[in-house]
Amino acid sequence: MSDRTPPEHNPMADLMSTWLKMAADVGGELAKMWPAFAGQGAPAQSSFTPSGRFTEFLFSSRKAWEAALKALSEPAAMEALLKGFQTAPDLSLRLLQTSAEGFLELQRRWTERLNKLSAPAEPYSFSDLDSEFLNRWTDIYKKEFRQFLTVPQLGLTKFYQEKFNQSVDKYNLFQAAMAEFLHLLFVPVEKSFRVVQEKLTELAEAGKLPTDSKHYYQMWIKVLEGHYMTLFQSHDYSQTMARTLDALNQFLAARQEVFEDALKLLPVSTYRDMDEVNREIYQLKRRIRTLEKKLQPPENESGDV
Amino acid sequence: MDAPKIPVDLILAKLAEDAEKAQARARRASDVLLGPLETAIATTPYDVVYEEDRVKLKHYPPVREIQLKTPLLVVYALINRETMLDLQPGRSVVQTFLDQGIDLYMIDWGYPTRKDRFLTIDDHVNGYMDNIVDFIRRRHRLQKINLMGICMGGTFSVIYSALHPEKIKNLVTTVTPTNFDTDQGLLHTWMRAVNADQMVDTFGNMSGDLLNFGFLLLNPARLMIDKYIGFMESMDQKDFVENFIRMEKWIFDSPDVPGETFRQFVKDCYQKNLLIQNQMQVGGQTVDLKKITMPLLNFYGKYDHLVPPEACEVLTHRVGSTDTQDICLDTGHIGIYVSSKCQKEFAPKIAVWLKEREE
Repeated sequence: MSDRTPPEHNPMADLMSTWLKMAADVGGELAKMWPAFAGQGAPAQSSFTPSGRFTEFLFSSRKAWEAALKALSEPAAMEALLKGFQTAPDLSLRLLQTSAEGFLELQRRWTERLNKLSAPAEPYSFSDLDSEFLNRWTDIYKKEFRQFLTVPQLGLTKFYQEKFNQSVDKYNLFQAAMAEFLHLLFVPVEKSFRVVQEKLTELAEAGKLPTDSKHYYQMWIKVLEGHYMTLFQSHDYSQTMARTLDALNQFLAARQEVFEDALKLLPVSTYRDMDEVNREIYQLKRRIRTLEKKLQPPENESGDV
Repeated sequence: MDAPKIPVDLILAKLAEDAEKAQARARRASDVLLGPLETAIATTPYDVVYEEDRVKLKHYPPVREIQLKTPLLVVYALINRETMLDLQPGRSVVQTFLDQGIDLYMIDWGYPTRKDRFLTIDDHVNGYMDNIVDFIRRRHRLQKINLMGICMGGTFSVIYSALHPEKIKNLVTTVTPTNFDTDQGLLHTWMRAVNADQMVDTFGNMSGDLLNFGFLLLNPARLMIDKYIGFMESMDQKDFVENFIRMEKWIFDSPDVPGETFRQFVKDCYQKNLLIQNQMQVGGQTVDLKKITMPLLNFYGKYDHLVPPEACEVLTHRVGSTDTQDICLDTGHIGIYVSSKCQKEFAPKIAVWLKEREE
């Protein structure tokens, strides 16, 4: 038995060192084999030909690979590497913890947002519960979800992505406005049914219910027409209609922007191109007509023109 | 024993009777709808005597000796088509004018396409209309012709007569909006809320279908429900079905309105009401209604929900002419031209009025 205490034996280090050596051997052999396989003796036939450049790249890669593995096989480097492995569980735990915290925070925010959705309507607006819901949804979309579509985009496709997001956003806003508009249009129908029901109750109590179904229809259509007239003359209706039209226009304009981008990839003219041409033709025609009129002979006094 | 408050037996008996009638009607209706139907509109023969871009000038060959030396040019609106004036035999303003011995011309504005989006009111009035008026004047070797405008076409005719009074002998306006500052018609209220710039920038031309949808919304109970219930109730009558389909053909034949024209019409007329205040600019000129010095006959409908009386009746008080007349008929916007009652009160009256002013 020797007195010399052998350096601290680390089976992990042995295993790593063996693996690194093997990897270096395999990598080196493979790299050596490539020129033969590609049918080229030397790497520098022509550095401008694709195959020559590729072989050159392979040789330099092999050198770098060998150098890296050699450096890693040295005891000091091996020790550092193993230390890294030993701290890995700690690191993973920290990463996991951060991710979990982030996820929980996101979840908390989302729950808050969803809670806003289910918050009860104001007590005084019970009869307007549906429109209240529509407004609430639009409000939440504008305040919460919309932000995701307005996140600044990066890189080469920035503008294309932004236009696409914009069209999605405008579509959602149009849908919200349309839902509000349709809801408003349905209000007279709802009210007319209620009014007719009350009238029928009165008639039934008085024993004067008509026997002809046409009377019921006439009664309802008259009430419905009246309710529509009242609605259409209201400021609310004009404003809702204008908002819906604005939303439609904005959506169509945003969608058009996306189409224009797509059309640029095809061998066809876009609206923008055609409008430019049409405008030029229009202006030219106007000039020609003006000149034509200037060149026309003056009318005579006798009535001949 | 007292009578029951709800006569269920009577109601049920009536329902059963109605169901039987409906079944019989459906059988007859199927014969009518599957059989040959005469639904053509605008069947009076005409010649196209002038064309410029999409615009055509129709001339109706006389059916009797011409009674008026001065021809009449009819200018229809850019919304819907002039075929309404010749909807069916017996309900045709065109036919009545021809029977009265009027030499009749009518502008067909055609179907604007994307390329027409830049055309302004100036292009329509000082361009197409002026060229057509000059063409007719040359053709008849006359200094002046008679002009009749319908709805928006009436507004164009008013503008034209103010800018070119030397070319117009008599002016007839029918359901013509000139005073837009009124809350009588829903259209006037709604148009004030519309963002015309945004619409034109988005659509290019104003879609005829979208406009039509707007018109249907003016009275959805009647125009989208009751009208078709009425059709179901009478769809076993061939004449009724034919007339109904003719009207549907006309209503939903809606050309787009050139964008820039729509923009100016909404902003200058509906939103700023410039025309009646002599402040509207067309082709760099101010439209001064005082320059309308020729005789003016102004028709409108008492129950017109699109162009209410208040939008029409101010005109005769603002023009320079001393020979003016307002005629308010007990009908609506379209009834003036197509109702059986107005066939006697409308076109024949115009013919007489024009004859009285023919030297």
